Amino acid sequence: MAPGDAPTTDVGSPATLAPSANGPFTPRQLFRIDEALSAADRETGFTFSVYVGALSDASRQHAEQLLEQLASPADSVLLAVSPDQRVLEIVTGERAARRLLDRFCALAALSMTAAFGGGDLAGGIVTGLRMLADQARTSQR
Amino acid sequence: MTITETVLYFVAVPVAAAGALALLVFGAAARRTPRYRPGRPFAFSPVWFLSASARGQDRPALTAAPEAEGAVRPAAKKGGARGTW
Repeated sequence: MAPGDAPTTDVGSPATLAPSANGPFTPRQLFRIDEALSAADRETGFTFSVYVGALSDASRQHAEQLLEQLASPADSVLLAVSPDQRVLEIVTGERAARRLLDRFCALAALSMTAAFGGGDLAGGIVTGLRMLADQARTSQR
Repeated sequence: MTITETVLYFVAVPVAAAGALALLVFGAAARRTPRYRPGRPFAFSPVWFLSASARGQDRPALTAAPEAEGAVRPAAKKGGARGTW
């Protein structure tokens, strides 16, 4: 797949957390993710977003395209998780990347994939959000 | 004990008990959200979340005229990381 191709999975636009009929999370897990997302947004001023679903073979390009669809891509952070492909992509926008260095994102990715490897999707996402939010907050000072 | 009673006590009652137990075990599991197990296919609808506060904000107003179609616009530099498990 060429980098310019459209993502194969059309998921529309990001939504606030609501139990999906066939979603991967229980209402309790959704609540935990929502709490972590709200806290991360509030503490850092960035917009954090979580995508869980299939990514195309060029997963990095696909995740970057998803980030571009957010209201303010430069100030946004996207965590894209593809459980079937066992791939995680953390994409930081231009301004967000100045406070969230790539090497710290790699550390967060390591923690997240450790949880995913144990079958805990929601736990890994919450851990990743907290780590990234903490780092962005401390680097602000 | 008649044959009917014997069958009732030694066949029908155990079958009913086993059935009730199976219903308790598998009935509860069927209602639960399917669990993700690494390496096994996991079918679900894709989800994409934003926090409720971020959802409310509108796109910022354009400060300049949109670029003409076909104009080459350098992709903004993005950072991040990748992980597999």
